[in-house]
Amino acid sequence: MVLLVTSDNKNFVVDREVADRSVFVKNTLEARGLSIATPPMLNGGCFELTSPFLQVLEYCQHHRGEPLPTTDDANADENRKRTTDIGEWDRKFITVDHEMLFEIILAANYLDIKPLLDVGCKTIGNMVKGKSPEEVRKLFDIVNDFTPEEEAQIKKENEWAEDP
Amino acid sequence: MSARPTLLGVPDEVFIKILSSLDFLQLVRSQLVCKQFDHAVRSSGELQYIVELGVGGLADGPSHHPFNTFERLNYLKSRQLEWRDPCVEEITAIPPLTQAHLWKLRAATLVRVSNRDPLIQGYFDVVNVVRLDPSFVEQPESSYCLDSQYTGFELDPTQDLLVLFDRFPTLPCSSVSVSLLSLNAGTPHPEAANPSLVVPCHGKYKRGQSDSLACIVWEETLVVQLFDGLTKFYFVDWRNGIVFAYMLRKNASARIHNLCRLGRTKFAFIEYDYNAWPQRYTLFIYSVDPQGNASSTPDHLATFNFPVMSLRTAPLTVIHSSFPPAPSQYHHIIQEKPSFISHTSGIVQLRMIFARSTPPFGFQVFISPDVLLRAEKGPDGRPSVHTWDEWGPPNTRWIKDPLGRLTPTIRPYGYRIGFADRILDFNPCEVGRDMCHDDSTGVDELSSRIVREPTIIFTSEAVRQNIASSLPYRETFCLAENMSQNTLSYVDEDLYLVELHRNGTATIRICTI
Repeated sequence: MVLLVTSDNKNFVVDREVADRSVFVKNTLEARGLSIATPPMLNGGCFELTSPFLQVLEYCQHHRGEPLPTTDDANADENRKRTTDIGEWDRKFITVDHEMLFEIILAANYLDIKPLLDVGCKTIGNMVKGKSPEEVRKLFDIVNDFTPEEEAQIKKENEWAEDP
Repeated sequence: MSARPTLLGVPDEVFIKILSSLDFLQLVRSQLVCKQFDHAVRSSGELQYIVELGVGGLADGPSHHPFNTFERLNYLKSRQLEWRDPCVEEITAIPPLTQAHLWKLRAATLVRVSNRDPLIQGYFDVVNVVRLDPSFVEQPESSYCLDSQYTGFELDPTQDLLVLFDRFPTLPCSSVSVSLLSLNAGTPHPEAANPSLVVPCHGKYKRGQSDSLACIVWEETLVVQLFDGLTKFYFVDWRNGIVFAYMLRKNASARIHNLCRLGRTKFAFIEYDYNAWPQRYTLFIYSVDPQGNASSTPDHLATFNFPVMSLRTAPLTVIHSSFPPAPSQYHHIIQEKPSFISHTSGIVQLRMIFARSTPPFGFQVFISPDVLLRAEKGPDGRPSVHTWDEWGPPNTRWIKDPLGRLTPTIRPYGYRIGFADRILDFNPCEVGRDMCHDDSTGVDELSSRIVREPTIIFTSEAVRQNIASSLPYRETFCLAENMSQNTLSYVDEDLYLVELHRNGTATIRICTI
């Protein structure tokens, strides 16, 4: 069992197997030779971590015991191919509001849980797919910071890419 | 007060990861969202690679865009100048030459093979292209008209040596005949003890699988490469007419391109492994000692990917590409002759061939497993296959094989199969027929080879469904030389890409690798 402490001082006791889903936690534990407790101080403390952390824990619980993705490049391509679709459980899991989605992605990035990060990034990618730039801006609350000239320039550059 | 996380607030590497899940078109469109999107697409090597693949028609790209290969490469080049230096050093346009069938570049000597008389196969010109200026007028240094058909050649102007190869796939023991001629006179070379050598090929030799390639090292040693399932190199003392050494490369899924001499003592070739994805070309350089023994390990090995090789110097680690691509991305869907048609059950068996361009190197071809199409029952309950015809002008040409028999070589190729509700037209291309001899069984078999690009793109929803369900393809191979007449040579540390355009002009790109 491992004790994990979030930056807002909430304690979580989880199985080692679950905690090991996070490469960050796994490396930290191994480096310090600890098996009981470690506080992964999620840095910044700029946002509430408890609720996304609960989500991340749920993900780790579900996927406990699965082999961790290898990091060598030959397999990265394979992995990419195999995971173009998001699994059924993952899709349900990731159906959350935008804010929570970004929190999960940030947490997954920080804790180095690659499969979860992949799922999050693909989910956002799927949201962008098939949308016009204006729709994307609206969806993610983004301000168009191009001048009309700059916008025209990019359009001109990419003219060739559109199907005739 | 905690800051709300937003899409633009995620770390750069996560942002790029999100964008890299987009396909090529969506990625290009997303540049318009805001400056951060635009900057990410322009500055990330990974995202630029997706764009490159899309531009190259390799992944997720528009299947038809107005740019030709050269313009696309130029476009890429101009776009990427701001973030990396291309290693294409020089681009030279050659003035139009008359119709040519094959180009070969050996240290500024360009060889043009033409078939002025369709009944005489052995006709070619040697054109020296040292003078690359716009006023260049084609003046062949030598012209040859030969009685026999040859399939490959090699020349060494310093020794006045012209080597012609002819393959005899139908003889009891498959072999390659080597003729040693004087380059200037066209007669048997005076220094050759035996101007007509035979290099035996021990396995099942398939014609048309790889060009017969050879080069000359140490002045007196001729290196001949053969493919009979495995790549073999034979070392021939051409003056004495002796095959004295032999080297094997055990990679059955590799094709050798552009074997050429490198300096005085080495030879180089580019190996294309068609089982590897992304496409990978490996450059091998071997040394040969004066006795003709090649070193068992190559001196130098360089692996590079096309088409990226000419534009990118940094190694690529992430490739975003589905393979094989969606049917819409194929430039040509070619239909071979149906291998089986049953008029009673209405089943048509097809073998699908797809080609897509892989600039700057040419085309890649996919051959699917056999596909069965079943015609629906007609109103009378009978299968509705009602017609199938071969069409096209009768244009069969006959040539003599080494035993004096006449065999047809090329004919236009087109079929129409009618069903009750639709007619499928298959009018792909000219297909050349080659004989192929199997020593172990003594059986001659016909193999076909595409000799002209197809003109009609055949699409049918039903067939597309079949394509999707019949993946993966059993065979893929590169037909660059056959289909687009691009050639690649390695000369003095640089890689020369010769691209022949349809209007007769050619482009040579010199890349430093």
